[in-house]
Amino acid sequence: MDIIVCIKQIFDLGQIMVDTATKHPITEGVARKISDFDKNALEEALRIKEKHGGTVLALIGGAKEAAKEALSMGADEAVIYSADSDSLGTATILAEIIHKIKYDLILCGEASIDEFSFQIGPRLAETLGIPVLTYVREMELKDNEVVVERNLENRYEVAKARLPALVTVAKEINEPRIPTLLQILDASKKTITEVSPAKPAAGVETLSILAIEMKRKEVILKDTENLARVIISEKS
Amino acid sequence: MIFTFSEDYETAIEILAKGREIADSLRLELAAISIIKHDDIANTYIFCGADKVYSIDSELHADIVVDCLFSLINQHKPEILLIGGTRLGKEIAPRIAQKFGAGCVTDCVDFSLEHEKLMVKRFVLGGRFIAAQRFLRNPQIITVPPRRFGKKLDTARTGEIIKTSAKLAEPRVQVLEIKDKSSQMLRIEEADIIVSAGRGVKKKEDLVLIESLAKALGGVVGCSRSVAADLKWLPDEHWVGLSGHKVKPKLYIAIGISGQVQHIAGIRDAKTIIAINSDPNAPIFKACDYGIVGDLYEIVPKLIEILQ
Amino acid sequence: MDFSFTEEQELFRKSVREFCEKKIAPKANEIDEKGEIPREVLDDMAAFGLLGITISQEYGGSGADFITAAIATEEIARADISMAIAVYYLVEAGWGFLINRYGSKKAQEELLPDVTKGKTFLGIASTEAAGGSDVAALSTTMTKEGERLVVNGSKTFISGVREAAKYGGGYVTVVKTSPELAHKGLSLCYLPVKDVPGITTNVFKQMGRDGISTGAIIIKNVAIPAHYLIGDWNNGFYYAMEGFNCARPLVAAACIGAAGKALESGIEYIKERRAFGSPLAKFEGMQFQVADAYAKLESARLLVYKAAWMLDQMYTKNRFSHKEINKAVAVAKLVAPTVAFDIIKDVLIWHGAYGYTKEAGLEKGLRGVASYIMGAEGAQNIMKLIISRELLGKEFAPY
Repeated sequence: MDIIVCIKQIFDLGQIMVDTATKHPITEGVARKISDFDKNALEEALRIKEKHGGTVLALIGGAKEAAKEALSMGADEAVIYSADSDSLGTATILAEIIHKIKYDLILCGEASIDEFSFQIGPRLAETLGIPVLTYVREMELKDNEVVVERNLENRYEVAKARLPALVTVAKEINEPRIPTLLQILDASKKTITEVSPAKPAAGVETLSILAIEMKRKEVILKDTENLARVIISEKS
Repeated sequence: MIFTFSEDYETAIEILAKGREIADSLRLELAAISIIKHDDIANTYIFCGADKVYSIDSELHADIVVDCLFSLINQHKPEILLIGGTRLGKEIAPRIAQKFGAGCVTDCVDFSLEHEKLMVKRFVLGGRFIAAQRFLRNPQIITVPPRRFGKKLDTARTGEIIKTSAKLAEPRVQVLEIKDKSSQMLRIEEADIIVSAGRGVKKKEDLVLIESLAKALGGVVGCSRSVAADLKWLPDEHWVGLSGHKVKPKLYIAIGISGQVQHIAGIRDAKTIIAINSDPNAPIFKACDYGIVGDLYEIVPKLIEILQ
Repeated sequence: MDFSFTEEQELFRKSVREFCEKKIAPKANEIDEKGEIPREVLDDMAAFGLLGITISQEYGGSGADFITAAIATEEIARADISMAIAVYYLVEAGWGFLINRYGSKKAQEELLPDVTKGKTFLGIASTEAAGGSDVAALSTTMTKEGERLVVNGSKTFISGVREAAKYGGGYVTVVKTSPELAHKGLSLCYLPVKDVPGITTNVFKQMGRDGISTGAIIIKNVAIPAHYLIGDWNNGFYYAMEGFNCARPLVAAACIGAAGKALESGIEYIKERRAFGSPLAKFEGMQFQVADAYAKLESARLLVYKAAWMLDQMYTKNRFSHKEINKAVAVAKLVAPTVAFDIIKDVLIWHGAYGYTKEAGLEKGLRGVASYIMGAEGAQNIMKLIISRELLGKEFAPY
């Protein structure tokens, strides 16, 4: 079972401050980390490997430090690329890299926790022409098929697809392992390959990113009906 | 032309209302796509703003929806595609976008037009920032969160219903079983809606009020320091505050919580804070978005009644 | 000159922090209240490779260098500022290293795997009732009797006596083997304490770091096998000093870990807490304190990592003399506890009445750090004597 895990390195969101004059995010000096659900995807891949054998390749949009972390967790090798594109561009880059690699299964986090756009997994599967199973909270491999339980709005759905397939995982699927010192030291023997694909066309341009005014509204409501109305509109 | 699609009826008519506004500004036609067995809602879609409804008699399945939309887009070349931001919607929108080499913006919370071009906004960087984005080409594919926008109904509207069928390939993902969700272990840091109890609640038994409200809203129960640490009415995993759990829900309702600084610090990342307290001078009213001064024993039961 | 940690060390800090936030921090209040480190915390730490981290891999350790060990200490103390877990961890890291270096092969094989697995506790027993700092006054003796060694005497203010008596394990123990030779008549041995005839232990009630016990060991005609002798006969003083030099930077690392965490929570607090219409953090009087605290913390932190780095250089590249190490370690151990105590005290005061409560979680840090001002792992005045001895020359040594 050869597994590719797609990983995005993101800013540690808690450390991002706001430039009070421009309202722009200040990202200079902010630490980076592997996006949370991508870590769940890697953990799941490692568990599958431990059970069924095979290899785990971490395909990382980001810097070497993220690759080291993935390798420390147990990935066999890492490929890194520069992640400066929109979802269309990123999915196109990933597909281009993956086309040259043999795989049975691709795992992604269901979304990155900075963008939360839920796009990469479905887009990548579409480009590669393989089935996609999204929002997965449990998964198992059986006879060249992947059987999953998906977390949907008000129900869980058990579904299956033939391999090769792409699965996007939810946070609840597992608790990612934390690499120990020895695993970290061992990882320095593993290979990190850097690839630099041509910058693909983007579908969307971002015009601005501005802080949301965090000032509380401090509106005092007169009656419960009004309160109920506010609650209904705010809860969605 | 603008296409709308959502498998969720409420969301479908919300995006039709939004789609109508955009269609009117850009002088475009608005077509709803309905994929359902035994379609009986096409007329409603017209009342809710559609000029046309393409009605496809089919089971609902992500692979089928992608195929149907793909062939309709190829035929009609719409400029804009509005998709209900359900879990299904957020899977199919990027899939379709990728097929057309197009951009997609999910969970769009604001639309505006600049020089006849659509500008959309969405929350980014953990929800603390808002990004304004524009599409570089058509189709412009957007998902809209459910319950974000209002709906409009005009039973005098007329339009055209076109029964159509798409050539459907066998879905590659096979659904084996559907299970109902049952209650799960509490992880308050991850909750979207938290209803929290403070010292304003007089007896442990009265926490049932808070629990019922939380249940009515599909949220979880939190509490202040005193309820967890002093009174020990609720275990620590419910404790919200600097020493308890820092939370970041969409909606935080503080009931009978005065709003000590440690508590306020623990809810700073909440999107909206609502306070119910009998003391008009309680500090929580300076730290909330909406507040109501009054007896929680009157307000909460009434609220539950309305919400149910 | 390069002040950066290696990529591996940075990644390890991230890992340990995540581990501590998940497995230790949520239990910190409970540990202080109940006066015990839960068994599962020790098991988790062992599984994560933290216990006996400096011990070599053949005995289940990670063979960590002292910079790495200090990183882990700092992170552990951040998660449990009472210092209880940090103490448990650092005595094993410091003294486990010593056995790994000077213990007999047989003793290493017998003892160290259980330490790294978290099955047994390993500590240091040096201090006696008559005093800890004046080694010449030590009265615990060890004599050879046939194939065995026999120990008599008592040790006091010993960390982990209840844990060692419960889980098994024992102590690197400083004993007199040739009383007439003063410090040149000292030896080191490993003294087991669980179910050993002639050993009794008792536990003191202390001011802080309640999660780990402190107490006394009374040793009456306790026979131990000859392979429990650590290093050469009558050479114990030098091993003990080396062991203290290994443990003290970790003590200092624990202090700055606790203080660093306290300062962070204090900064968070003064940004939120409002008085006279604005957050406390807007007051210049507060900002001066914040800056002072940070400056002190950073100075202490540099001393800690410099001492750890010098140790690593000594062990791997044979750089620096023992005298240079003695001085650097003593400076770190002199400065860090005092700085940490001051910072935690200040942060506590920023919190006003809330700071005085147990829930604020700060007072246990103050109580814990205080132990290292009182003299655990070497009294502050002894640090000063070590520093002046190196600065003034041995001929001016007062004792």
